[in-house]
Amino acid sequence: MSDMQVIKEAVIGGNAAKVKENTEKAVAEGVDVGIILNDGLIAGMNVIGVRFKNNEIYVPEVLIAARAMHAGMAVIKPLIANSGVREKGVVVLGTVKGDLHDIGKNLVGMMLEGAGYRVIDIGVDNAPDKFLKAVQEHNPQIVGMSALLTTTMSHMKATIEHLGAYRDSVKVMIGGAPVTQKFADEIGADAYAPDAATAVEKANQLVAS
Amino acid sequence: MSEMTSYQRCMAAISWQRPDRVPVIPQNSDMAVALSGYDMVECSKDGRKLALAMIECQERFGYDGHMMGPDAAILAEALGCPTEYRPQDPPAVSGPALEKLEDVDKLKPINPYKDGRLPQWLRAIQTLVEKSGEKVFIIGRADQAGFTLAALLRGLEPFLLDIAMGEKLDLVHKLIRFTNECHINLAKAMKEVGAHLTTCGDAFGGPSIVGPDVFRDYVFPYEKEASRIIRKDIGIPYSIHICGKTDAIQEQWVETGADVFEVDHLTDIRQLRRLSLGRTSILGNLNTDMLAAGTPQEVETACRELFDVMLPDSGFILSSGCSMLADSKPENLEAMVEAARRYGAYGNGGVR
Ligand code: B12
Repeated sequence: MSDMQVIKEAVIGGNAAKVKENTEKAVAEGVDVGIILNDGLIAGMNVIGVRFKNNEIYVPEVLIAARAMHAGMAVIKPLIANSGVREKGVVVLGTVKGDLHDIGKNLVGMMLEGAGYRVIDIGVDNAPDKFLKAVQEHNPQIVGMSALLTTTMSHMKATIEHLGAYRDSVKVMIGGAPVTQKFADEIGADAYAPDAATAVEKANQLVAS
Repeated sequence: MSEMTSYQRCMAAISWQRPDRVPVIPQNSDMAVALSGYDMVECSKDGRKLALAMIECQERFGYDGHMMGPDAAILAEALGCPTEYRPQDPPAVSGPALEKLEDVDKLKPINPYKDGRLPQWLRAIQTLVEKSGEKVFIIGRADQAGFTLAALLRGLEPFLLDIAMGEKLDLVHKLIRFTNECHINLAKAMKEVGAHLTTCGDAFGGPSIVGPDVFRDYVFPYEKEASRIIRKDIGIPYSIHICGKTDAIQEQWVETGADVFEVDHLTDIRQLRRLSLGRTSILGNLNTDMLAAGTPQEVETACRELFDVMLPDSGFILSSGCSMLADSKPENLEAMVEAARRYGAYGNGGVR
């Protein structure tokens, strides 16, 4: 098995110590940071995302894989700045006003991080103004909103409107159990994803467009 | 057959006797509070007001039972979790009570008659019993079951990581054993103040969150233990609510011996019915989205589809799949009650 394969498998298996050790080893051997990131860490999280989407694994398995991925990230983070690897983008992510569900949102955040994005997680129960403040402060490419209640979904529209002039420079991606593509179209969101793996695909499309 | 009282109808359903028709118990305390004109904070802190709101709602719509609600934070709060109050939403846990797993040793067993808002919930049940006692069925919710309460105290993600890492499993089990005892203590108090059935939520223990292996090792044994003690030693029927998916655990779930399962529309209701027939009744499972924003016609159709699966067997209570949203349409609740009256009769053919 190649070194990158070992890192990838260790991410999938949630073995943080092994990820750290092998990432350090690869760095010492002079492997390009971009390769470690893409072929090791991100590749592992991609597999996790697909398995979760297919109900082959559950929330704990995603959490432990994300933890292992972070152990590798911590090793390469100081090197990324000088390496020519650019972060894919910045995502401000939060659950909308009146809604305290965050399990799905957190998984989406982990998958986005695992795919090379910098995620600013603003937590739960965010009024439109909190999203706006976070956009002003962090200048993201994408705003991600989560809602699990039919009653709080309406705040997504309000938030999009509240972004005002910033709406031209940031893309809006939404999700959560009751949210649909149709709803996303209706409120003028740029993307919808039914699960965390698809959220990464959609984010990639958004930053490319 | 002459018409039964609501209480008799519900008892018949959960004990696999023949009711005259399908009983209806919506999970609508949020809605009851909203319709009453009280705000959620005052009802959460004053059990009498909560009960009055629930009684007013039951009298208006004429369904068969009170399902205690509205929040899932009451035990966690009494055990030290920070809890948020907002005027329109039920109280909710906003952080863990334990900094580290080792702190489980510092936890003190709850006293339902003294701690936090627990006495208010008991007061709510007492008020329900006083006002509608032997006629309407009263379900006391002994809040969250062992696994879910443990996750709230520890924080869900750290708790799931503790389990996935497998390093301190003795402490994990110690915590769940403790929280399960708290849950059982509350169930006991509910029986003492006159509830007819006691229920609990264990949503974190279902396949929307954890897999069947975690269910087998960390959820099932504790639900089974609670079921045994509450039904046999304390002597009150026991119900378990898992919202979200349940298909992957149903076969084992039936072995808990619980009297009732409460499930939502994500459950394969035919499969659950087949596996639990004659053993565990089903309460559910209308889609809460539909009840909130659908039409009465859609509700009627969904009820009739459910009756096709459930009848002519007993062991069924028509309900929402989970807590109904506070602003659900009243005409949808009316449609649900009406559907049971019109299409839910057991007739004279007897139950299978
Ligand atoms: C766990 C849970 C809770 C927990 C939440 C704990 C937490 N920290 O999140 C607790 C117990 C606190 C809770 C409380 C309530 N809940 Co709740 N809850 C659930 C449950 C069982 C599972 C949700 C979950 O975490 N699923 C697992 C995750 C992984 O899935 P997910 O969230 O869908 O996320 C995935 C996708 O949707 C997507 N995604 C999610 N966010 C985003 C964001 C973006 C940008 C993108 C692209 C994608 C995306 O990717 C994720 C990963 O693949 C659901 C049941 C269900 N059927 O969904 C009910 C459910 C959501 N709850 C419900 C209700 C009614 C409530 C309460 C009002 C009940 C009450 N009276 O107390 C309160 C509301 C509190 C509040 N104000 O928010 C209803 C909502 C009904 C409706 N029509 O609106 C549901 C559907 C249950 C039901 N069948 O009726 N709940």
